[in-house]
Amino acid sequence: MFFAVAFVTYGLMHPEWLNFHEQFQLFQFGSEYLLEHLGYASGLAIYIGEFVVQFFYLPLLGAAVWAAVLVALGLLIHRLSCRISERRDLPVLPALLMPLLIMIYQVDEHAMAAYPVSIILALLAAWGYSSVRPAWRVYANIVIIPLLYWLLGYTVLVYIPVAAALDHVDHKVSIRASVVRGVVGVMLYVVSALVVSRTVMLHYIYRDIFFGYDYYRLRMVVPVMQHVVALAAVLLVLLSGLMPLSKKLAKPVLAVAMVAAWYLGCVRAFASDVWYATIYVDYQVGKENWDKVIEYCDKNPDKTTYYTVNAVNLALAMKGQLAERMFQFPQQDQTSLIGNFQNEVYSALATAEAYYHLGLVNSSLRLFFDSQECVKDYSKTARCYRRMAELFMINGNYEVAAKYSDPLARTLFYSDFAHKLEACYADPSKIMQDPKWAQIKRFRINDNVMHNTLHLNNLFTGLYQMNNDNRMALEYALCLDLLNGDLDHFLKRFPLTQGGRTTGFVDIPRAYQEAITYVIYKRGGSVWDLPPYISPVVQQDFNRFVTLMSQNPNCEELRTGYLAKTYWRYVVSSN
Amino acid sequence: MRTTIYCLMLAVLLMAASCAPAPKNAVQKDSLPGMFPDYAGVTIPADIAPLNFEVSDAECVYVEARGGRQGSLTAASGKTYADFDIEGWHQLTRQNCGDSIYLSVCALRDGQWTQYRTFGIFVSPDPLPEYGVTYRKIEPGYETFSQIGIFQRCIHTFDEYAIVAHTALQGQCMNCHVANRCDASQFQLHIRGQHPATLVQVDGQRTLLNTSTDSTIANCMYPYWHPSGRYIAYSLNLINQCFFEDTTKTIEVFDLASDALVLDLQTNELILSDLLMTKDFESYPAFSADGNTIYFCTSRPWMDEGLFDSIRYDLCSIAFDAKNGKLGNHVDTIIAASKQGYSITHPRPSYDGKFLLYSTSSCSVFPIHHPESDLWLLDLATMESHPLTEANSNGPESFHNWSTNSRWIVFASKRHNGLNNLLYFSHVDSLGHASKAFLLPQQNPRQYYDNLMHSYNVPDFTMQKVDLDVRAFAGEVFGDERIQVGVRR
Repeated sequence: MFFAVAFVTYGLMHPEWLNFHEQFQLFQFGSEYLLEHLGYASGLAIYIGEFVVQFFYLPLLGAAVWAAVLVALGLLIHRLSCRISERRDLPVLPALLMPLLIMIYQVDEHAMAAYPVSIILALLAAWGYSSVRPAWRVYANIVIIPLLYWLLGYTVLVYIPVAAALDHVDHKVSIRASVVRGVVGVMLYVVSALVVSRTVMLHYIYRDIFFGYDYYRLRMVVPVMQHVVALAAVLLVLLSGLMPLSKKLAKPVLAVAMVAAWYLGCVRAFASDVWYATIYVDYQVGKENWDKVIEYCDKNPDKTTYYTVNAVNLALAMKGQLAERMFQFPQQDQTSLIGNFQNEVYSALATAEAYYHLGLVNSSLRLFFDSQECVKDYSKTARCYRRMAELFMINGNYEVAAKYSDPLARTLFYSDFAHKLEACYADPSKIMQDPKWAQIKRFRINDNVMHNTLHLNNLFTGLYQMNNDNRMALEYALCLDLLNGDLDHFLKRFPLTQGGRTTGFVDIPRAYQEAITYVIYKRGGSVWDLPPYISPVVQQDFNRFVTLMSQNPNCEELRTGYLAKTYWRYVVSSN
Repeated sequence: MRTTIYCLMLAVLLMAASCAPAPKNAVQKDSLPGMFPDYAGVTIPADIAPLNFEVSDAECVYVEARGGRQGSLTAASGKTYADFDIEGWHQLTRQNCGDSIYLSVCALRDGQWTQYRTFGIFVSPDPLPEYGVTYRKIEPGYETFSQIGIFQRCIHTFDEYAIVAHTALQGQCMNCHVANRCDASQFQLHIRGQHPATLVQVDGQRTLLNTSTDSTIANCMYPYWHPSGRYIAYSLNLINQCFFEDTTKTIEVFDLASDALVLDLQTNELILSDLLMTKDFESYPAFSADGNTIYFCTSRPWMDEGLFDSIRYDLCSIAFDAKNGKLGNHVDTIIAASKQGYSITHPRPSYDGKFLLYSTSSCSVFPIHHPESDLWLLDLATMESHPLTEANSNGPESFHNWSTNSRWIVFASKRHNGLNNLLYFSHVDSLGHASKAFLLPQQNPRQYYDNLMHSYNVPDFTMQKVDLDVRAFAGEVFGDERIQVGVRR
């Protein structure tokens, strides 16, 4: 049952959580990557955590793997608590509090998957320890604790009390002696960490040495929940046997409480966190599911973020609907279309994708690189590596492209892609066999053109004039004019659309009609001055808009009705 | 038991045999092998780390290195690259100082050995006694960085150590680790980010300075030590960059303003002069070998012309009185490069006072992104310049520095792939002629450089291993306690 709940939570309800974790790491097979991880305390747990997370690439498989990990954690807690309480009849339910707590903790997207993996490894070590002969146990711990510290880091603190309790249970060591062993174990952990800090980890801060290098994505932070989770693991193992679960209503009450905790701590928390709107939309952008991006942003205007605005504009452009529909979504200014990089991973990721499709190869490269460098735990990302390898290849720099595709070739899910790139390095004519790469190669600029953020619309216009197939560039140029309120330039550029035909519309797109109507009105024109391509619906809406504006600019209809989703409303509000 | 031992011995012998196949029936080829790195004809110092190299597409490489005077060494470990024994290599180089080592290369492909034309590596009689080189490693990017660090590498072995790694100063930028004439006991480095500081460490004593003042336009930037160790010359640069869509040049780094000055470490005061704080841009100051002159680069504000390709710097100098800490009263133009249509940056006088090494480019203050950027040498006796043709390449060369005996230079170049700056060394003889540059040796160079995602920045030689208590330093950086520098004119 728990497996099913976890599977549904991640695989069906929140695949974006899986995607978030998967795309911000680059797990590679091979001894080099393993040895790199074994070079610092907690490295093995991080390595195995990344190994598990790589399966998140396929949401259903990832959800199944992660649900299995959580269930395994629960079962391990249960088995150990049975051993320690010396009761075979302990129900599993309390042990499942542990994976439930993990699920709640990991709504915080910075809580890394390596941490629960590390706890499992610590508990497995304790399980193995129980088979060590009594006479050897004290000596064994002199080896096990420093070793476990090196492999798992901080979670050796989960192992130590459980091992001490097993001494008490298995070999009738007194409670006092067990406590002493536990304290000595903790001291051994501290000594191990101090030795490591003075030798092999000279360049790591004490926080990383004592609490694990990569259990939390944000540097310089150890969340309280990390300690709570570790403590809960120990308490559940040691004290499950003391829970009064034999009473008639105890189990149903606990079960209901757990369902409530899952709902409030997981389902509601996911839903109420606006950040997950960004993560979800980015998941769909990464998969190029443009319709889903548009659909989500359409249905969730209350979850608009800087990123979702960028993303929905990109999705609209990719579907050829930018000029028709963009003002149906909240727009801020030029940055709604072309995000400013702000030293944050999502600040320009959608723009990097937009540049990729527009054929601005160097700018796309720059934003993918800079976005990746903002990943808080300094990880490399398969998604950005993939794009960078493509873009270096399109630029003809195959040697550098190989630098980025080689690590991908050592992964499970990106290796086919890497091999496809490698084939292109060997025979560049194959690049043109891929429709997207061929398109970017045709669109890209070969002249020495500066990327000037103040005159991006000129850059986009130039792209279009260089290749009239690049309609997206023309739409971006015109829509930037609209967002900037620069209607003079819009009108100068507008004839390039050839009455909408170049943008693929039968009629002139709605936003353009609205802008032209607005300009004519601003210049003192009347309905008789409107060109024939302004549709009757737009004329009618504009009349209604003008009437309402003159009566009550703050009326409900203008604020939230259909007129709120027009260029007129945007431009009047901007002024 | 005995049978087991014999079996084991046989197995070991078989393994050894399979790992060290001696070429049989090799086909002779009158050409050099396709090598990476290309070490054919380079000049090296004795005791440098082995010049291991890979032969293209070879399944196995067998190399015999024979000294022109004496000694020989074989690299026959059955690998795809020549992997010389460090001790044996050192001995061979020492035995052949002033002569060449001749390398005979055989490569195995599809079961067939090919023997290539023998080539030589000249071992200079000029020693390179330094411990190693220091440099910053950073991914060749644009606006951000994550895994950044200051490192040192022993040039006699393949050992690399962090001086400060990103794990110690998380989220902070660090740059410009510069020692006084390669002396590791006196160095400075800058920390940028939320906790900016300029670290000056002298004989183990750390001082963290705040070099921003009301009288200056920015924090101290490009440093150069006075030979006495009392002063450091700096430029102050308001740096910006722009990006291009072209495939050949992607970034232009430029200054919006810049000045130069001298920091007096005895009084922690900045010594200002109107001559170095003009409306023109002054940058890259460097003391002469005797400490009596500061060389620097200067340009008219390029914005007057409005185009990046008008950024051109001249080489100038101003006197410096170390006794009184006074700057001279006039500026001399050494090379008016701007009038000749090019730009000079990074002047680096040799420590023997004979030469001044600098970068040239068609324009720019930051030649690292200019493929046409080359190294030139000015003879300070004749005041004549010439390019270091043998050391230069089609890629940009920049950020050069001298060894203490002024016979070796280290510099960064993107010649390898156009993206990553790697370290190259070249010998400069007493007449100022440079030898063909050689890439910083690595144990397995192909694997190392293919996997390398970083660039090497601001390399310099270091006489000893740099010793910095990084954890204490990190504590001080995050503690934000700084000594505020003063100002005097």
